[in-house]
Amino acid sequence: MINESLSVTDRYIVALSALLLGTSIVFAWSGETRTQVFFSVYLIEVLAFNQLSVMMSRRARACTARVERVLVVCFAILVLWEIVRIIGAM
Amino acid sequence: MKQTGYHRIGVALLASGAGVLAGSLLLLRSAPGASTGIALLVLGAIVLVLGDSRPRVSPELAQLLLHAGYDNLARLLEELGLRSAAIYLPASLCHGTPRALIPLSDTGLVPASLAMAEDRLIARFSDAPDGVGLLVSTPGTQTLGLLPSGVGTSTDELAASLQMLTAGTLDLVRSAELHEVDGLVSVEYRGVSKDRETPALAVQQTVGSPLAAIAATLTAEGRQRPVIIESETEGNESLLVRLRLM
Repeated sequence: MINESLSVTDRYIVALSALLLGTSIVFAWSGETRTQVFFSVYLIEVLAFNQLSVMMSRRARACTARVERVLVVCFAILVLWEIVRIIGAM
Repeated sequence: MKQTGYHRIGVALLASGAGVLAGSLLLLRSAPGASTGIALLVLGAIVLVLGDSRPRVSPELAQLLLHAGYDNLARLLEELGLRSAAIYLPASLCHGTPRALIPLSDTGLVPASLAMAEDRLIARFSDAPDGVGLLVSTPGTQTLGLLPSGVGTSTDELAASLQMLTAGTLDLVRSAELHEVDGLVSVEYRGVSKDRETPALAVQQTVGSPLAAIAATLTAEGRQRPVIIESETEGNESLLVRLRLM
């Protein structure tokens, strides 16, 4: 019933919310504490989920691609930071 | 949900995510809190930008424009006394734009190999004295441009394009299935959102409903052959469209 009254974009948001918040529950259950791991897993989930969301309009996919680019830049900064930290510790 | 709704929810999720993340990292030293905060931030950013993807034209205005277009076409058909079913032509037969041809005479007299001499409202399609018809645009004509890639030629590709267009981009139905047996294409739409006002009878008889027009245009384009809407059967939140390839 709810599924029928929601638009494609609404269904995408509900499914992505369930995925991300479900993952945060799994993190809490598994005892994971590294912030980098949280961010990396969320990034991979968003990228994969957006690839699977073929039903979205071109405009909506272009909008989500903007966020993907920002997330990938943040991921690259995290990786660089980790590299600097490892080199500094040597 | 309106454009402002997405923006409001996006900003709220971003603000709450930042608050939860800062509180978890600085005050509580809580890893689950930090993971929830990051999830809310990512979700908020996506919902915020999705607000820009909503159409600038309101659904009410779009419906008004659709009905105005159908009303004008109905008046034209009634004035000319046309009742023959429209023939949906692929772009290759119609100067680059897929259109529907409404012949002045019965469609049974229309030759199988059609070629439009000119891309005009009143166009000649054969050398016969009554080989003249109206060449009009339908909702299907406009929707082809919404597909990210062209229409495939196989039945599976056609079905996928139809599903993506009607259930995805246009959000008109919950699902669409397409089958082909001996030149007869059956399209079954499920979860059809009922329009309060159906197009005028003259338009229904010639061009068909918007969903049937989309299916016919897509099939004509995929098969590169003219297509006629044989019948439309409405069910409980479903619509069965039968198309015949010429």
